Amino acid sequence: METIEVANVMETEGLRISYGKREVLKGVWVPIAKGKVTAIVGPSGCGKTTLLRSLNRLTDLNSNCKVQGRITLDGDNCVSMDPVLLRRRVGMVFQKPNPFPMSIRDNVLYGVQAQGMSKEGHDDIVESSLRKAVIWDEVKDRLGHSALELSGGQQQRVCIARTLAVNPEVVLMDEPAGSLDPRSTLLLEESIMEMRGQYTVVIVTHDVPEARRISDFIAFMYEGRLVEFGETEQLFSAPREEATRDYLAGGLVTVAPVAREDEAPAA
Amino acid sequence: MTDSVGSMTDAVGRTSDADGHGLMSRIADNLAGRERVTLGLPLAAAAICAAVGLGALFFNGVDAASLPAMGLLGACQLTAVATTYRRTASLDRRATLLLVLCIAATLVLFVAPEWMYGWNINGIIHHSVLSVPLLLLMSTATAAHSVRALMGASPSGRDLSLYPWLILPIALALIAYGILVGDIVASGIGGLNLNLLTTVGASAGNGYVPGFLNNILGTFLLMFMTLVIAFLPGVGAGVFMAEYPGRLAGLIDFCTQMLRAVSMFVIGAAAFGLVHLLSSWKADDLLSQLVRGSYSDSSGQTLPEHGSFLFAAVILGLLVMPVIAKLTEEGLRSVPREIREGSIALGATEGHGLRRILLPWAAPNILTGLVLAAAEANGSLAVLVFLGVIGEHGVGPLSGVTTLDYSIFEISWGPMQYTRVMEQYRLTAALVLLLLTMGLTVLAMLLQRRFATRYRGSLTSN
Repeated sequence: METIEVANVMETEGLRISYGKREVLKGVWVPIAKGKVTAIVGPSGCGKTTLLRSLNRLTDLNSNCKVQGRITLDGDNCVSMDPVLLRRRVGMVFQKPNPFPMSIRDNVLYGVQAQGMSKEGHDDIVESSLRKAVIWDEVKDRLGHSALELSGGQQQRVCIARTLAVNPEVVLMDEPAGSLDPRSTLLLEESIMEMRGQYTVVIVTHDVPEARRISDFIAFMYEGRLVEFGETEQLFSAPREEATRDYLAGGLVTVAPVAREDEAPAA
Repeated sequence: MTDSVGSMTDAVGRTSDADGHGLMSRIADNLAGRERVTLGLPLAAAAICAAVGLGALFFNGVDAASLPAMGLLGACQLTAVATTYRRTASLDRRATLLLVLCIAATLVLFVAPEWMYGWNINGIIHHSVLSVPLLLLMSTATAAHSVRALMGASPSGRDLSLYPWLILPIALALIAYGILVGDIVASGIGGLNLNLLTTVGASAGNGYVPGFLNNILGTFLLMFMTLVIAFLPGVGAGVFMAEYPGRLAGLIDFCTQMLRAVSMFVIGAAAFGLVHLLSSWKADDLLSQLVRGSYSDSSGQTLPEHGSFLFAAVILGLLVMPVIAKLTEEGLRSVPREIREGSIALGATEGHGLRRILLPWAAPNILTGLVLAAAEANGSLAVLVFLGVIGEHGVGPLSGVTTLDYSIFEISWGPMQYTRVMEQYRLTAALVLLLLTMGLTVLAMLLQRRFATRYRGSLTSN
């Protein structure tokens, strides 16, 4: 396997997560390359959403959830960080658009105000964030209107703008196009492309063609384990595992991959 | 009481969702499946109760309506239990409990006043004061039970459609309400005039000028102060119960529930005890003055009252706090998980999320809680009977308490001779109070609907 020549901003090692007695992640290693888009793919129930939620410790919200292993952000262990501070550096966009019941402007500024950032330049923050989320032109004349008046696709892009407004190092996206129509999905992908380079994006998706279009790296997961990780094109052209080939080709895994313990690629 | 209403609506929702049949057709189905039921037993019981009630009619007005109604409800419950037992050879625990409650309540009403005369607690607790809340309690429970039966929704999955005639208790409960309210309206409306509402009642020589202004102002002042006192602890308890689940929250929940379950008369008696303890302890210190209140007589001398508005508001605040807490909790629990997580994922602290998202979201519920609490405080003013104040010395935080409830009690059974002049206005005072309470309840419903749609908007439809 090729050496990955990019600095990893985040990395999980031997990540095990269980809800009660049910183990959802069984020792997972995933590197998150700085400034790149990493897609996590895999069949339903493979633990990809759980993995994503553990990256900014939303898993803490479920008292039933037990996390073992290491998650690092810039080399620091996330477990020992203040979760509030961690979430300021690692933002998240959810599957279902979840705008707050307030104006579009207030939505975008929510995180800025929550983090007590400077009161100046709010207008610039609103404009640049909405531009990055490719929604500025649609809402620039009604920033004072409730975000609930927007369509689902527009709401989702406002949510992206809201996340970008606080300048996170990493943006997590949990099937952000899951509830959107094709046109909105396209605009959303455009916005993700826009973020590439400036932000590190981790996106969970069911949609293999979409993963191919937007991601630099793909992590393929199956039943709580990382089966294969690699650069997107390489994974599509020459997958190491039978299961990866199956999934990327048709989304169906016919041969179960060999269970491997937490394995990092040879450098 | 609230529980049975809750389960009632649950039952309605479940059945109409589950099989797509309309409510009415469901009831019709149940009625169609009816079998012959022996009505002899309930009729006999009802006849006895009615006879007792008619007897009571000769002695007092309100009792006359509540006692037979209560007897009828008891009879219906008895039949329900008996029939269920015959059909299933097992006792319906809920219905049996209601039956026991009915019988016990009726007994208490007959016997208790005699003891209470002996207790000599600052006057007389008449059984009317007890019978009205008891009647409401019983009829609500009975009605809820009947509705459940009609829906065919039974907690144990038993086929309750075998006694669809349980619609009878609903009708009776409505009739009981009707008699009570009708009596108040019919008798009270005659005495209602603007003059009465804008005059301060006062002694004039040997006579008495009737007027409710002081009482109405006092009622409003007391409601306002009660809300001010109950607001923060109520909302705080609600936030704690919804946001920080755990042993402590459970304890708070338990305490507020208990506070709700404790009869207002017990709290009133405790308050009464406190006042007397204080006045026998230190008559002049600040706390004692705050609790007891005072007034200035014509010569400018400050004289002690028997219980101040401030103290009464604290007692009522304690009573209505659970209402505010419960509604706050409900409002916070209705915040969708995505919205909550959205705030957390943006690096907002719990406090920020609470201020900017959660509390605004729960605001309609909190507002409704406040108005309902006001209505409840209004209805619970009878507690102040214990404070036993005439309150003819004006309305202020430290004045003696005068409210509509108190004047109803006082006019009816008060020890003061001059109140006999007011006898004809007793039901007028009740009518004014009734309108006030109903108005507040309706207002609460309207507010909730209006604010809920305005603030939460289309989010739920997404």
